[in-house]
Parts: sequence; C-alpha cells; structure tokens
Amino acid sequence: MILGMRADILKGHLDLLLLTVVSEGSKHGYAIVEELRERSGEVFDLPEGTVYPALHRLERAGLLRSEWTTASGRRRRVYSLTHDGRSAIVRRRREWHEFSTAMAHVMEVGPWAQPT
Amino acid sequence: VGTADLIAAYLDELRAKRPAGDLDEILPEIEDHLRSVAEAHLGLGLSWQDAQHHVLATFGSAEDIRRAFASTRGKGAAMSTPITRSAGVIAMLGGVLLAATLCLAAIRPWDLGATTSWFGPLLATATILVIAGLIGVHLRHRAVYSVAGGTGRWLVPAGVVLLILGVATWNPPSYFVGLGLLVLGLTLVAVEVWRAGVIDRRALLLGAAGIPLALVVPVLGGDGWMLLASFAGFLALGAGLGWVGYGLWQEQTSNDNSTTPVAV
Repeated sequence: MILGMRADILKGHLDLLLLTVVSEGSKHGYAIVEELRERSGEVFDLPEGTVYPALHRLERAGLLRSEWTTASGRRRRVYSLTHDGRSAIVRRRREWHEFSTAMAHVMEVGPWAQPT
Repeated sequence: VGTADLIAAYLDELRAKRPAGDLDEILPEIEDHLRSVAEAHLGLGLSWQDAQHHVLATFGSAEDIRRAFASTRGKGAAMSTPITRSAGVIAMLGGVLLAATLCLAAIRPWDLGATTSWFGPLLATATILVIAGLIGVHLRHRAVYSVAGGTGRWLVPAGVVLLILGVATWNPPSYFVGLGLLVLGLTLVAVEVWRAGVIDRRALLLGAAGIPLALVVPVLGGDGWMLLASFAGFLALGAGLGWVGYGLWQEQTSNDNSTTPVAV
C-alpha cells in the first residue's frame, strides 16, 4: 500500500490526528480521510480502509462516539468527540509538542541541519 | 452504470473473512465509504467500473482490512474506558479482601458459626467487589468475543439465576444445572480473555491455579498440609484476581501509547 509518508512515522500519531480532525466537527470516515489528506498537503495519504479500525478503537476507548444517519439512501456513521476525547487531545498535543521540540533541538545540530 | 458491482463483491469477500468486530456495524460503514467515493469519481467522468476499481485500489484489500481490524484486538488496543479502569481497582480490592477473608476463615473456623460472625459480611463484600471486577473484565473484552465468548456471557447470568433459584427453593437439579452453566460460561469467557492477551496471562494462570487448591479443605476437610494447600489456593486466587484488576487499571498508561498500524 502506497503512503505519502512512511507508515511507521505516521503510525504513532494516528490517534491524535483522527481526534483532532473530529474535534472540529462531527464527520464520517471518508470525510475524516479527506480532511487528513487535504490538510497535510496530501502527505498523509492513508490507506483509507485502515482508518476504520482506528476509529472503532477510539470509540471503544470512549474518546469518540458515533451515531448512524442516512445520506443518499445509505446508512452513514458519523463520529464526534467525547469529553474524554477532548481531554486526550490536550494531553497528546502536549506530548507531541514536547517530542517535536526535543527532536528539533537534536536535529538542528550537524551538517544536515536546515539553514536558517 | 456498469453491470458488475465490484463493491458488493468486495463486501462479500470481506464478510467471508469475518473481521474482528460487529459486521453489522463495519460493513454498512465501509459500503457507504466505497459507494460515496465511487460516485464522486463517477461525477468526475470515470466509468462506473473504473470508479469502483479506483476506490477499491485505494481502500485496501479485504485481507488488509481484516488484518487492520485484527490489530485492534488484544494488547495495545485502546479499548479500556474509565469504567473498566475503575473495575480494575475494585477487582484489586476484591481479590485482596477475598483472600484475607478465606484465610481468616481457615484459621478461625469456630468463628464461622457464631451469630455475630464477621465471615458472612466480609465474604459478601468481597464477592460483590469481585463480581464488579469481573464485569469490568467482560466489558473490556466484549468487543473481541467470538461465538464462544458471546455464548459464555449469557450462560453466566443464566447460571447465577438458576443457582439462586435452586438455593432459594431447595431444588438440587436447578442448583447443579445453574452451577454447571456458571462454570461453563465463566470458562468460555476466560478462554476469550486468555486469547485476547490484554491482561497478563500469568494473572489468569495464578487465579485459575488457586481455585482447585482453595477447594482442598472445603471439599476434603482436614488440616496440616491440606490447610496449607487451601491457604496457598486462597492467596493465589486473591492475588490472581488482584493482578487481573491491576491489568485493567494500568491500561490507561499503555493506551496512551497505543496505535493502529496504518501500513497494511
């Protein structure tokens, strides 16, 4: 499966990405995939089907809730964030910030550092 | 619109692979996704056949999806909730109290017949705590039950009802059928919990090993090594239950690091 970014890099951050997209309004699975793709400049080009197990897992964890609606004559499952999900985003964003800051500090030294 | 419904064929293939989870939830959701995207491609000028090919190519094969759902089973799958974590704490307390109560009862058997015995209330409290903890174990695993686990979850309450009726009405057949259903149901659920691998299997082994040992004195009577064996059994049972509870409780930390593989 082709990814716009190496899967193992994205792997550890999928939950935060999904929660963040859903935090801005209720969405169904395909809309979530599209939002991720567009907002990442098509770098996060996920295998679409793999998003659903993650969404189901987040729902079972109590971070998302879902409800069935009808669209174009078909059943459509729409996800929204729970209170616990909102707390999880705050916590995981903080962790991500600490991690990315530390990575930047390490990587900005050496010949591979980006010129400022 | 072409004649071949590739999406329907794909869904049939996925259904046949039985991905972990509720198919009545999974398949309609995936169908909505596939048909929505295919219709969008159709609107851009692709033929219906090409639109279906395109969406199926980017969605992932049925085997990919089955594996992706399977990856949310077991250890690392973020399925714990505040309720299951609370149940874990309750199970820890229940395990400790149960072991302490049974050990005390073994040391001071003459207390058991006293009208003001501490044994009944303590045992009842420990039992309630353990049952609450076991309900948490069930809630944590119910999403990954197979048919066996799904059967077991109903056999347990049925067994309990028959057991209570048997005791209340002095009806031995009801009592023994209820006991049998209860043991069978618990065994089926325990097998599912074992297979899921969420809770440390050593905790399950410890608790299970404690049961036959704990029954030595109540069943065979006696003292000396038999009493020691029962003591060991009570402690193992209590420690196993407590460990199971710890496993439920500590998931909060491991869940924070959990992921679903995106490469399939």
